This record gives sequence, structure tokens and C-alpha cells, in this order.
Amino acid sequence: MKNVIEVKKITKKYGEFKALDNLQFNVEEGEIVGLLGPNGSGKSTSINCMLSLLKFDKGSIKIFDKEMTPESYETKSKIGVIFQDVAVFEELKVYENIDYFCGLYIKDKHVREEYVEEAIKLVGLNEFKNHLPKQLSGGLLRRLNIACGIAHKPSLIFLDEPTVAVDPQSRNNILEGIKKLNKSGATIIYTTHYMEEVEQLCDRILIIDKGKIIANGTKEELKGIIDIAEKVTVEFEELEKDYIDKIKKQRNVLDIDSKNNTFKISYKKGKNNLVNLINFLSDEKIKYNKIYSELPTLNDVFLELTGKELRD
Amino acid sequence: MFKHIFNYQFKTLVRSKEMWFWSLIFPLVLATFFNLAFSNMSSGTSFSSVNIAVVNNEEFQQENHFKELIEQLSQDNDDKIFNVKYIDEKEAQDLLKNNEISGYIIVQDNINLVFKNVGFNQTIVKSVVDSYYQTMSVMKNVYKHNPEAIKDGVLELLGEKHNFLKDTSNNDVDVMVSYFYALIAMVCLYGANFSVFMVSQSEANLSKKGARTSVAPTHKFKVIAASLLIALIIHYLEVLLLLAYLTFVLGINFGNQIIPILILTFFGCIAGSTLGIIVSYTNRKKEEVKIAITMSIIMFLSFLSGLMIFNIKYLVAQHVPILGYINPATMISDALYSLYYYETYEQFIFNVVSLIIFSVIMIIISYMFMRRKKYDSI
Amino acid sequence: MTVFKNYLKIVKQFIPTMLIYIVIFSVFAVLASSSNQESTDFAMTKPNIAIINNDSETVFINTILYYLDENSNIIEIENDINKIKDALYYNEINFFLEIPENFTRDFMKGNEPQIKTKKIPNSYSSIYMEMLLNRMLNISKVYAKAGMTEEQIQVSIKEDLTQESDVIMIDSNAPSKIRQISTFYNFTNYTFLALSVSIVAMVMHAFTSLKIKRRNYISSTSIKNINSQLFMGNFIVISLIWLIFAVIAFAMYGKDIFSTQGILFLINSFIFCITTLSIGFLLGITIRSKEAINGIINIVALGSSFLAGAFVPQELLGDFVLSIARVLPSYWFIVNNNIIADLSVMSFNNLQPIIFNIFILVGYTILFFVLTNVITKLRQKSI
Repeated sequence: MKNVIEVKKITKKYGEFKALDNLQFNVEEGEIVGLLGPNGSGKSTSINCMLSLLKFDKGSIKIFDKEMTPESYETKSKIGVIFQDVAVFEELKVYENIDYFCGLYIKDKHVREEYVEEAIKLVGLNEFKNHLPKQLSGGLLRRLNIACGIAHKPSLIFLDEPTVAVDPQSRNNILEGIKKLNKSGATIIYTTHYMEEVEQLCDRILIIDKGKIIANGTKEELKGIIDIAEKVTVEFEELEKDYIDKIKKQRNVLDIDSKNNTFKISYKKGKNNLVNLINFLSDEKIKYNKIYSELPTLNDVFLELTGKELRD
Repeated sequence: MFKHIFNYQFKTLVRSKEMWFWSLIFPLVLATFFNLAFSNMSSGTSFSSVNIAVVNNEEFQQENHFKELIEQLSQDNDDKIFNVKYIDEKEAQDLLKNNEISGYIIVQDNINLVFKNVGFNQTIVKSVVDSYYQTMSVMKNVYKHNPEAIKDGVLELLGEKHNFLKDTSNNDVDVMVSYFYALIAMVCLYGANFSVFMVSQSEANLSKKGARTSVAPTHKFKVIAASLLIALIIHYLEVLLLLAYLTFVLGINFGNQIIPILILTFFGCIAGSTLGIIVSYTNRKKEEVKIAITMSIIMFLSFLSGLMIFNIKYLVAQHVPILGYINPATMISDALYSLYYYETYEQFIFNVVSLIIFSVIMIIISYMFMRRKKYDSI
Repeated sequence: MTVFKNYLKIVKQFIPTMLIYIVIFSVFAVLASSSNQESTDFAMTKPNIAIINNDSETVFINTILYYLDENSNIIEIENDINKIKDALYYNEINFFLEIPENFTRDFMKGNEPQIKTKKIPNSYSSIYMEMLLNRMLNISKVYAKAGMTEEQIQVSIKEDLTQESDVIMIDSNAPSKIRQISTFYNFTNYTFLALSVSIVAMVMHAFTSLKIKRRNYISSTSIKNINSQLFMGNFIVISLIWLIFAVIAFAMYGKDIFSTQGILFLINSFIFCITTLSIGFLLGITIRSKEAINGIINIVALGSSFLAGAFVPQELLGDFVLSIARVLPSYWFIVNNNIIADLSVMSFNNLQPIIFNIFILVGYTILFFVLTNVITKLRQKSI
């Protein structure tokens, strides 16, 4: 596969503060790449640098094999951007807004008409074509924001947290839309701090923290790099003090997180962890209300890599 | 592409009702106020009678001619100059202290005028009394030289005031019109606000819309040029409406110089627009701060060109003439003045060329800043 | 006090904007008060004039020149029409006269030849010059009719000129800077209005932006309470502005500011500041768009300054305008400044009108606050 984006050792400083610190990664054609990190980790900054909106101090960025500059119009024509905040003209109607921004890319009127209609369909704003932005709800506005960014059929799309503060229905609509765009051949870079979205959507995930890529791979790969392979939650009827020590001695147990009557037990990779635990509990005649097993999430990955939660 | 941006920016601006409505309404209302405030002033002669007191002592009673004059001037008719109270000195002093009269007259060896301060009213009083003295003196001199002439009625000539002066000032330009010139100049410069508004829509560090525009494969210059052009056109239309209002509704006479005035205000609008551009590009503050800076600059330039106090313009011309040459508001108001006042177009052309030079310099400086296309922070 | 704290936070954001406005408007006020050169007391200042004489140097012409020299400053100027116009335009001269050929001959014959003049329109000094010159020529005409020669006319005219009334000034111990201070404070009508209305309206607008307003309304604090906390915040800002201008006045006029009149100016301006605050409050709360605020501020500040005589002295404005201006708080502020400037004796009688006018200002302030409360209440139902 061909690399669509090559980011090489980018450093961006705000005074003494390093917003990006030797950031380096590639994006291949046709991928959906998730850029996952907590607020302030450098996701938006890295996107703005790639779009050459922001200056950076060191490093280089190539998009479609070409150095990215503010004058790279040919490259820019293949890019679509959806910003974190809604950026539309208050005075223009839905259709007009999409047509205006699309018109910055596509000169042919008829082609544009077709494209704008398609974009409206894609985000599901058919009924609202002639509405002004202020007449739209937050979720619909987001959809309009997306339509403005992708109407010109870009082959590389940047989405900067497009689902922040969006209702579930609109969120699903947006995620479906992104999948469709990907299927029709677009490479997608997606930043978010919602790990569920990334897990659901992305082929590959870059975890970013303090301006650095701290992990890079498919979700399976990422989960493979941490020790935790399984998490079992037990809610006891009555709790006795020696439970922790006893359970800790079991095979594969890494760590126990206890809260009131509930234990969260992390296991290393191994077979029959849950079965072993249930057997152990019945042998010991320990009564419990609930017991269930989970696979580790990206949050666990993040927690283990950085020592903090994704969502603060 | 240019047309596409142009069309949509036009829609945007036309639909920003608040924006153009207030920028249009404000000068019209202000012009109406001006007209109201100066309508009486420009007639010049209207003044209310001056309150004075005359100390009613024996000496006054003996000055028959003077007594007659005062009585004549305080008769209730159109020429009434004085409201006179005949009282004693003590009372007169009290009235003066309490500002109920502008001054009082006390006849002793001589006719004395007692004032507390010197102003318009006092000057009228003094001028009347002086003319009485001089008339008396004239009578004495004539009598001494040729007593016969008095019989021939020479002295009656004293009553008739012949005008030996012929005013050849080209037109009766009055202060009022100058205020309107300054107003037009200010309104032209107001276009700066439109520029600030338009630029912030297309600059990535100023608005999200700007960021979206910046990632598009269109030269940013094209987008900005189209937006500014549309802003300029709408602003110019507003200025034309103001001119129409001034001429047809308020009846202000700008002379028969329609085409030069249209040319001038057009370049005035351009100068205003470029002023906004330079404010937009030379600082990286929020839009509110930019508007505050723009408004302050416009008001300052207008102030120096005599909008609030006409005299300021002269003071500037006398003490810091350079300020007059670089101030677009002065250029516009000077040019309007010269169209009305001078027979030649030299001053007018000089001012229009100055406006063009001003605009070009603003654009060059702005362009130098504009070329920074990446931002340190968004 | 949460509203109040929040207010101060918002104000902080506006500090750069406020500073810009304060600096620029202080410069205005300072320049304006020192510009007051061509005042109405033209009798005391001699106008600058230029003369071109196309007649020969006759005795009569010399008499005219002597007379003009007594009453004005004669400026040498090139005989070039555009130079003269420029000189008039830039106020280097106030009055220009061109004596025609054979003026003396025609005049002495009893004809009525005319002197061509150019003047700065509506300038007092040029009207005054016209009046003086006409008076002198009319007197000369009488002398000529009575059969005097040019030389005899010269002697007589010189004699007539010495005839003058004596002016006695009382109360000359009044501080001389008071007039300047009153000009300064009259101009601050514009400054205070523009400044406080824009600052207060700006902050209030930010504060009452729809989302926050809704949040305020559903909170348990009453509107009156919210508004009074906002008033506190605004009051502090306005007092600071007033103080800045008091300091400027002190810097310019020194201890005169602490004379009785000076203190009255300060009090009057402080009351007026509160009135402008209430105007800003009302506008900020009622007007929803930022663009509208800028336009309205200009109309309010510039418009009322012109109508009420902040720029052009009230005595020069027509009665009609002044009667309209009476509805503006600015009118009463300026009237009060003028009364204070003329004040010489402190007595209850003299202070009465000042106090009366201050009451009117306070009345306006209360009216605006009540209106603000009423409007917020009405608005509350329709957000």
C-alpha cells in the first residue's frame, strides 16, 4: 500500500511547551486511522500542522508524496477537512453553505450540483436544505459541518472530533457516513477521545499523549502489547478481608482493584481464567451476586501506557 | 471561482442585516442631528436679546442721546438688542454676580461698562456703546468743520449703513457644510469595519470559517479580494444613499459637482476599506479588539479632520500640517471643500491622488503581513 | 456575589479594548479643550487679515490701512488668488480685502466704490472685521460729504477712534482656567457617553448572551438582584473612568480643580457618569446584536453631543435645537457645566439651579434603570 501521509519528526513548541514532540507516523491509502488521545494531547495541533495552517519548528510532512505548503493547491484539492467546531456561514442556508465551500474546490456548476446533493444525502439533511444554520439543532449542525468538508469528494479526509457533544442518532449517522466515504475509496484520519468510536471504526489506531505517538497498531495489536488479557468483575455478597490475598495467589492474576463489595481482577493471557475463578469461589464457598468477564479496552491500553484515563 | 465567492459573499453580507442596517442608519441619523443643530446657527444673525442693566443715575438722565439710543434698541421689535433694567448700582452688581445680566452700564464722567467676563454678549454691548461714542465724535467733528453741512442733512447719512464691501468668497460655504464634509469623510472610512468583518471570515486564525477556506485549493488572495470587493460595493452604495439623503432630503448644497464627488467618495471608501485591511492584518487580536481599534482610528482621524470641533482641523493644519497630509478623513473633507470653494480642480486632484497613495500604501503593508499564511497559533 | 465575580471576569477580557478607547478619548478631550482658541470673545483677539491695494498710496488709503492696523494683524501675502484662498482655507488669515483702482478718487467724489473681500465663512472675526470696516467707511463718507479733505478725514478718524467706552471687569480674581475646564468637561459629554456606553454595553452584551441569560433566569437569584450586582460591577468600571478623567483634568489645570467650581465640575461629571452607565445598561440589555451596539453608541454619543452643545457652545445653537435637546440628559449636564463656569459667589440661590439640574440627571438615571428592569422582565417571558 502507498503512503498517503508521511509525518516525520514534527516538533511544535508554544514557548517552552512542546505541543508536538518528534511526532512521526504514516497513513496508508484506504485506511481509517484513529488518532486517539485525551484533551490537549496534540491531536488538533498535529492535524493543523498537516494542513499547513500552523507553523512547526522541526520535521517534515508529505501528503500524496509532496511536501505540504500553504500553496500546495493540487494536494489541497484532494483533501477534505471537518473541524472540531462548526464553521459555516450563519447567513447562508444549508444548501448554500455546502455549495459555497464545495465551490472553492469544484468549478463546474453541474458537477458541483450533483456533489452537493450527494453530500446532503450522505449526512441526511434532505429535509433541511433551505434552513439557516440557526434553525438546526446541534447534531444537525454537525452534519452540515461535515457535508461542507466532504462535498467535493476528497480522497483524504481529516475529521477532528466530529462527534463531540452530538446526540446518539446523529453520531451513528456520522459514523455510518464516514464508513461509506471510506468504502468509496477515501483515506480517513479521525481524531477523538471516544475509544468506542475508534474501536468500532478504525483500521489502525495511533495513541497520542503529550505530543508523542505512544502506540501504533490495530486494536488487536494494541491490546496485545499490554499484559492484561482479560478482566473479571465479581460482586460479593459479603466481603471478608482475606479474599484479596487468596485471589491474588490464583494463576494469571495481575492485579485487583477493589471497591466496596466489587473486585476487578486483571488477568494475564491464559486459558480458562473465568472458569478457574468460579471454581475457586465455589470451593471456598464464597457467595457472590454477579460475575462477568470482559476483554481489555483501549482505555486499559491507554491507562497502562500513560498511567491516566483517556477521559478526564 | 472569483464569481462564485463573490456571489456568496454578496448573499452573506446582504443577509447580515444588522451589519449594513446600522452602518447605513447611523450616518443618516447623525446627518439629521447635524442639520437640526446647525440650521439655526448658519443663519448667523439670530441671537437673543442681551440682558443688561443701566444704572439710573443723574448722569445717565443727562446723556439724552445715549438714553434715546438705549431706549430705541430695547424697543420690542425685530431689531431689539437689549433687555434693559433701569436700577441702582447695588442692584446691578447683584444681578451681574448672579448672572442675570451680561453686564451693566454706568454713566459717570465717561460711559463705563461693567462685565464679569468677556463673551459674545459683552462684545455686542461694547460695540453699541463705542459706536455711540464715535457717532458723537463724528457729529462734533462735522460741526467743527462745516456747521452748514449739518443743516444739509449730512448727519442723516450716519443712520444709513452703506455696505462698501463686496464679498467675493466663491460661495457661501458655511461651517455647517464643513461638518457635513467631515461626516461624509467619516462614513467613507467606516468601510473599514466591513473589511475587518470580511477578513476575519477568511483568516484561519480568526475564524473557523477562515480555517476551512485556508485548506481549500483556492488562493486565499482571491477569496479575500472577492469578499472585500463586495464589501466595498455595498459600502459605497450606502455612501451614495447618504449623499442622496443629504442633498434631496436635508437640502445641503454641495455645488454642481456630482461626478467629482462620486469619484472622491469612491476613493474615500477604498481608503476606508484598506484601513480596515491593515488593522486586520497587523494585529492578531480578537475581532472585538480589532473593531475597537478600527473605531478608535476612525474617530481619531475624524476628530482631527474637524468632525467634532471644526477648529481642530485648522490647528492641525497650522501646527502639525503633516497630519493633514496623511489623514484620509482630512483628504476627503478637504477635497469636498475645495470642490465647493475653489474654481480649479488642483486641490481636488491632489486629495484624490493622496487617497490613492494612502490606499496603495495600506495594501502593500497589509500584503506583507498577509503573506504569512501559516500561523503560530490558531 | 457570583454574578459580580463573573462580571469582573468578563471585564478582564475587555481590558485591551477598554484601554484603546480610554486612551483615544482622553486624547480627544485634551486636544478639544486646548483647541478653544477662536472663542466668541473676538473683541479681545485681533484677526489676521491680508490686503491687496490696487489704488495708489493716497492719504485716504493710508487712513484705511492705519485703521485696519489698529484693529487687526496685517499679514503680508503674495498677490496670487490661490495662495490667498489657501491662506483663508488654512486659517492663516481670517479676512482678505482687495482695494480697487481709483478707490480714493471715486470715494471722495461721493460715489460708493466697493472693496472686494474674501472671508472665512461664519467666522466671528471676519464678521467683526466687516462691521468695523463698514463703520469706518460710512463715517468717512459723512466727512467727505461735509467737505473734508483726505487729510482732514485722517485727523478726524484718528480722533474718533480714541473714543471708546471704558470696560471695568469685576471678579477678575476668578480662576482663569475655569473656562477651559468647562470646555474640557463639556467635551467629556461625548467621551463619557462613548466610553461608558460602549464598555458597559459591550460587557452587558457578553453577559446577557442568550445562553447565560437563560441560565440566569432559571437560577434562584432574582432579576433585580442580578441586575443590582451587575450595576455594582459597572459602577466600579465607570468610577475608574471618571477618576482617570479627573486625574487628566488635574494634570492639565492643576489646583484649579480643587477650587469650589472645580469640585462642582467633578461632582456634576460624576453624576453624569452614572447616568451614562444607566444608558449603557439599558442599551446593553435591550440590544441583541454587536453590530447594532456600535451604531447606536455613535448615534447616542455623537448625536447628543452635537444637539446638546458639547462641541458647539450652547449659546450658538438655535432655540429650537435647544428645546429639543432638553430631552437629553447631556443637555442638563452641559447646562450645569456652563452655570458652574459662570459662578462667582457661593450662595444657596446660586447653587439652586445646579442642584436642580443634578436632580434631573438623577431622575434620568432612575428612569433608565427602571426601564432596564421592566424590559428584562418582559424579555424573560420571551426568550
